[in-house]
Amino acid sequence: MKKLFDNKVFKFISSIKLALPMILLVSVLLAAGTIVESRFSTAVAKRFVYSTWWFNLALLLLGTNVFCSAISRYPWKKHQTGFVITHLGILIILAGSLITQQYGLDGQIALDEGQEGHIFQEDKPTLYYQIDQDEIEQIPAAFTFSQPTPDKPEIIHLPNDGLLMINQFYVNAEKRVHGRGAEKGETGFPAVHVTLDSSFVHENQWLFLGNKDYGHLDLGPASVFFEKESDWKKRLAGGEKDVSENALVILAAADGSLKYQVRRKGEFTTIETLNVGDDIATGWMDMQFKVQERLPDAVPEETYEREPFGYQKDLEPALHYEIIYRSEKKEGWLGFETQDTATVAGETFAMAYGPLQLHLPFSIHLIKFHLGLDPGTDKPASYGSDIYYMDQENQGTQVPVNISMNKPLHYRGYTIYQASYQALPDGKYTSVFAVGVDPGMGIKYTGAMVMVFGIILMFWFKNPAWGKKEKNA
Amino acid sequence: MRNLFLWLLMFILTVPVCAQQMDFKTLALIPIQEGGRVKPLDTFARESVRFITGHEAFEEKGSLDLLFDWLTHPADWNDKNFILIENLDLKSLLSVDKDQKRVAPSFLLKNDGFIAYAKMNYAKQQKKITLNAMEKESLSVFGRLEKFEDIESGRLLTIIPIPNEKTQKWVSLEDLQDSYRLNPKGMPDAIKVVLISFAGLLKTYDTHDAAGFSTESQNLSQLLSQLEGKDAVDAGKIALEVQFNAVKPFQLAWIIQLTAFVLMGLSLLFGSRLLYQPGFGLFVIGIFVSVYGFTMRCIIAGRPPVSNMYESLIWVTFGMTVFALIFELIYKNRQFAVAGSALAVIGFVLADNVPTILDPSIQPIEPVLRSNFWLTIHVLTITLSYAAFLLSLGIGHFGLWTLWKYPKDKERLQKQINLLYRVVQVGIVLLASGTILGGVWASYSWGRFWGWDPKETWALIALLGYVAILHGRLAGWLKEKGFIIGVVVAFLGVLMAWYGVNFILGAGLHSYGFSKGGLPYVIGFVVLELSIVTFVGLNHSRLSKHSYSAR
Repeated sequence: MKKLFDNKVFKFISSIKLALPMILLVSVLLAAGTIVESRFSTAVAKRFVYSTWWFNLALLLLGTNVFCSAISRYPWKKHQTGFVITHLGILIILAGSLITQQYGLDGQIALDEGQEGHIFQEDKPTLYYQIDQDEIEQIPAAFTFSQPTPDKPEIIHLPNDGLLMINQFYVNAEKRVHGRGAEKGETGFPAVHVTLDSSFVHENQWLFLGNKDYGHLDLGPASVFFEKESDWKKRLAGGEKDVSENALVILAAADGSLKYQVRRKGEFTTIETLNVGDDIATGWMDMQFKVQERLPDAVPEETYEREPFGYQKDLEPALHYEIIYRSEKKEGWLGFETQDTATVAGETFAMAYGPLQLHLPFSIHLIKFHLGLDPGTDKPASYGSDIYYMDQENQGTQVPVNISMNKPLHYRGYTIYQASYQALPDGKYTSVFAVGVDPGMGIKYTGAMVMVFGIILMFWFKNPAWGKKEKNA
Repeated sequence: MRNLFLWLLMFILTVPVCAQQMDFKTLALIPIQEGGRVKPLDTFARESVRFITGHEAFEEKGSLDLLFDWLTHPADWNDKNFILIENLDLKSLLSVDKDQKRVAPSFLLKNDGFIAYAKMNYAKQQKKITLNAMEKESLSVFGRLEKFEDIESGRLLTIIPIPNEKTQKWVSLEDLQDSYRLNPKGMPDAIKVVLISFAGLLKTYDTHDAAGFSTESQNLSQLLSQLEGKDAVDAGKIALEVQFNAVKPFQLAWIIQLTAFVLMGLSLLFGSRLLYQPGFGLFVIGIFVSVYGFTMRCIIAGRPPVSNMYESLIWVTFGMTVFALIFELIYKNRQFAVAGSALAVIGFVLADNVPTILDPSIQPIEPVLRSNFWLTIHVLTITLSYAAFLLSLGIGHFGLWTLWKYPKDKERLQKQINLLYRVVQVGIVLLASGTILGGVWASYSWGRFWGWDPKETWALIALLGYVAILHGRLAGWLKEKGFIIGVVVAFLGVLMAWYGVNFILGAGLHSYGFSKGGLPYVIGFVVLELSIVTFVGLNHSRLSKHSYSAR
């Protein structure tokens, strides 16, 4: 022991001369993390600062320094009591955090009223795949440390010498929809590629006639539609209720030509003809629109592009896969929380990309969600959920309980918290619960109490004015 | 010679009408439901006028007077410049002169571009897209315009205490008008007389009939209190709030503290004990006035003052004065009370004078903050640590002064450092426990002890800053000068955790405290502090024989 204390390296690691730069370094890294967080989002800060190897190395070094400095002063003198206890407290907190990180769970489960569930999701991107009726397989697909590229793909071996490759990955991606001429056997739609430009808005979008997802564009105070002229006239005849105050309608006329009509503050202009490539003023401030391209029979094709991080937006990763199976090939994109199936050499490959799915050892049934408002406002004042939980070991026993803000349910090592909610169009609610397992909690609390006790003790021992203990210092 | 009789006649005809002030005392006490709580009409008028114009009074009219003028003569106000506009870029976009502080409703309403711009920014905000300062201001200006229109139309005057069964919303004057238009015979007499009384009130206001106005006020107040649902109103609390509005305890507190500071400062300067005692007495009285203010505010709001920047500023300032008093009593050192009163003046004056940045209105708090023991303890502990560090900033300046005045007097400097060390230590205990209590609360409330939220992360950074100084002193790297300068500079970490996270970073779960503005003042303060420490530091290096490095 004595030998160890004399070791030069140990002396350095336990010295206050290392402590100070480490404290400052960690402070700077933390500050950088918060700036990243405010510039982008919590998800980006977690991914690019707080969960990187260098940040955790810095914390580890600081922890080691705290540990070594405390033991190197052994045997401790009386006036060091505060110092030793404080540093011991910090170590206990760090140990507790490590246990939480390793064995803790932190997920979410969303239930509609009347719905029952036991699967919760953890924010760990995962790729699930299944070949025909085989078992569902899963691989972690967050790629925190290294991202797959076409040159360095992530390779998963499938039965029969098959390969599943992830050969492109974007941490944050945006779906782009292009019009592509329909191929044989595909259902196509007439499509126009529209751009809207003004000093404050630049929009660029494909509109597909009769397509539910890509039929119109919502700009906030105004919206853009693409419709058959006859349908449009029918719709207007039936009342203008569902057309916004400001609207631009591109019309496909029966003779195959394009027309348009603008609505400004409820007033319609006359219907005019529209040629591809014309710049047309909408009359909404200085905004102009143009039909860049027109396809008679097109399908929306989804691809993903690398996207800069958005403010306060969660990361939306996307990956590009390639399956090689019995010398046949198939490739495609998978966005976050989407799924796809591909048929390769007669086998069906089902794939899904999304958060990690975990099972609760019991199920929860949401009976009713309660929302309390501040009187006379629509500002939520309180909210909670009436649920019952069912133990699968003890089938049939429905234990009713109320979970609300600051009033979680503790059961079988899991804690279910009321996290947030969403109002559904039919007046019902979706209640979102956080699911947590934190085996390090008791340790962290103990450490915290030890540390604060230590700091308070330091008052006693280093005080120049109070008490007699000062003589020892 | 002039005709005295004619003159007297003229006097009777004109002057009494102008000179006799309208009495708003009865109206001030009428309860109104707005912003999620029942408050006196007095508060509603003050808050609305402050929100729309930036001040509690406009063109020498008090807020209730103004409210009635808006209701009685809305057309007169259409072309008057009274809607606050602050952002220079927005002014230039609207071709408003940059020195012009307010614009007229008609000016805004005529400008289609502005309305569309504001609506678009609203849509952006709904989509959670960040707005820049100009875009935010366009929403504020639009909000002020809407508030004026809603007052003028009676939509915001929810003074009929008949709560809707489902929403608990009271009935507004506009609702009455609408339901009367639909069903003129269906209106109960009790409500009809309220409308008649209100009309009479406006009529007497219009004709400057002060006596009639008082009578009608009494009448209206009487009629409203007779309607059902009045049980929900705590008349005592309403009266208390009107009293609180009139007393303005935090304004009173800074005036007292300013006097205290001047007296004690002079006594320190001339080494006279004579001025010090009354000064110290005033300092203590000032603390009691703030205690009164807090008690009132807590009773009115029904909760501790933990919800926004204004509340935290007055709470921190108050806490700082209490710490100063305790330290003064323990160490019998006058600089605590002097620093305490000086900082109290700064804190309370700030809180009192920038209502568009620090909103003093009492509002209901976010669901997560309600009835939560841990949260209250956590926030109060953290803010008390800020209070201790604020005091350490003041004592730190005494340290800088000592460095400047007595650069070679090691004993004096050591004494100063001992005082500073004590205050910092109190701050560290409170900040460490407060941060941990935050973790306890987070863990208890949503299952996460530590979630890298910027507010908690910056609390940790501020803590590490002070811890670094203590270790630097222990390692021998920080001598007297380094320690004093270090403590002053470390306060910038507190400032970032306290103000910066909410106003500059504006991210994270503590979003209930977010706001905008004030950045130039804060940058000014930071630059000033850094200049002072640089100046004192360089001066000290030059003057002292042994140069103590602050590396």
